[in-house]
Amino acid sequence: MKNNFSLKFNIFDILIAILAILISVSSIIIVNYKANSNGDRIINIQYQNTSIAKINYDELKEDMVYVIKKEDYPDLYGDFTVEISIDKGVRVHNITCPNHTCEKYGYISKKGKSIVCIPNGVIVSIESESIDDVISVG
Amino acid sequence: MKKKVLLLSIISILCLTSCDRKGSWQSFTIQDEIIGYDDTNCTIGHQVDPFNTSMVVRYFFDKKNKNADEIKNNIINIYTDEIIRFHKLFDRHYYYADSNGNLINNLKVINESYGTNEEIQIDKDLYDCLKFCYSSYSLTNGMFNIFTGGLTDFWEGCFSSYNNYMDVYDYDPYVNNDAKTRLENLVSAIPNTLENYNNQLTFNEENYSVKFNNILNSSSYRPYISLGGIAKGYATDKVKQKLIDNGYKDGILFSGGSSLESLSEPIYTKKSGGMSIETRDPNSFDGSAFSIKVSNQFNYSTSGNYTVNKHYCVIDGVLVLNRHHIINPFTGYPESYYRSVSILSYSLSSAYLDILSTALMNMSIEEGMKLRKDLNYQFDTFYLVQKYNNGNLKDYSLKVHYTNNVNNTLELANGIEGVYEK
Repeated sequence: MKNNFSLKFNIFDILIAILAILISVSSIIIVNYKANSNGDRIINIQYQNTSIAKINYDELKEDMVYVIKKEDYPDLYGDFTVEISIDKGVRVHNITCPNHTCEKYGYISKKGKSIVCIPNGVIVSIESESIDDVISVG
Repeated sequence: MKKKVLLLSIISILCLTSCDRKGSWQSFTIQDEIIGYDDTNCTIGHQVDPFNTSMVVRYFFDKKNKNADEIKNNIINIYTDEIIRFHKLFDRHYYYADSNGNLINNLKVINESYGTNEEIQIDKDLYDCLKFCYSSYSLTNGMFNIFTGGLTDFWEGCFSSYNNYMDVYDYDPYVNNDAKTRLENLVSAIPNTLENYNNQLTFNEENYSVKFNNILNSSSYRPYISLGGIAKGYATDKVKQKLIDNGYKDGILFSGGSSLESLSEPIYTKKSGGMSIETRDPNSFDGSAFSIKVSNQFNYSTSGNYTVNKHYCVIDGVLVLNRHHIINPFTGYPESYYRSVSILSYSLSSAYLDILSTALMNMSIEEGMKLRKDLNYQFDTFYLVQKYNNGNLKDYSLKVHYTNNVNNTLELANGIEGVYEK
């Protein structure tokens, strides 16, 4: 039987090979370019496990306050204040709730960190746009 | 033809190897409030946090997931049900009722039955956890002891009284004789020999009941069971299994900000080389002491005193003693070996890591290394040691004594020295 596999390439094989290499190298460059970016820190404010606000912390130019109003979310114990400092990070402050566990976290600024207020059903977490999430413990 | 097939195969392989997963992380916590009661009729209620801390599941949603909302709701429901269930069983401070309004025989009920000779029939999960704790006593040479509830309460009272380190003479048993006497009495009530430990609880496997015995014949001081050293880890292991059984594997379980359990292999870009875990510098509100990268399914636990500026007492201006909530059951004091102990394992459960991190906080490095050898090197430890110069709280050094540099990914913060322990 005639052997169809030959290592002799014609001009079309060479063109296909160059195209294949270009496609592969391009995809590697594009993916790695995106991976090079660690991703901005996004403050995700959730009420009952649903996101109600996302703030790009790394693009903030000045401190800000975000208030979840009880009139908009009647099951809250009271207005819920999230303070964002460009120098220190984000914290919850002057919260109306039975045990104030959430306020003891103080400021958080690292990706993967969360402040949780179970009575009010609020999570304030710092997310990343990159899948390379950094987890902070302690 | 075969050449073309070969070329296309090469293209595919190269493209696939350059592709990472696309998606985003989301964090969730339990959906429902927990109401604990002061009385067995469950009439005087208080809102409580699960395990008195924050419990979070962090899940990765692929971009291509068409039913992300359904996945999210299922995960939240499973997580909520299991965390609340275990919280109620393991809580020693409050009573709880089940969905039919019946009192749940939890840890508080067991503690209240001390010395009554009554067999308390309990949930199998609570029974199994107590048995597991019992088997850990000898492994840790008694450093993990569940009968230290009285000591925990004593030190929580001290910590809430400290306004600054100058109050030490009013509260700390190291220098206050009244406090020292109370502490010694509390220690005397703890079963600190294997024989006493074994006799403190009687287990009945036929009906999953326990009897909390009065082996001291004393009415003044008595032991209290506390599962604070294992509860979060044990509950997290059970939640993890339930999530995996339901097909959910792309997540990390956070327990109290100090324990991590990945459901499967972590998700990361190939370029990064692994999922990054940063352990906080206890002297900073948000700074990192060291970081590692993990690429296999892992459990990680850190114990210590992370309370900035409230972790010590200073004796006569020169001696700095660590003060934290992990108490040596033999002495009644928290040891001053470390600011924190962190453990990484690819095989041991979160419950096991909770036990180990509790025990290791009160052991010397040599004792800890022996324990690691006894467990066939199934875990690696990172001891954060803080030394002060002449009691000067602002003049200190930090060292991380580690048993593994985790494939050369261990990175220490500026000013922190690393010491490899073989």
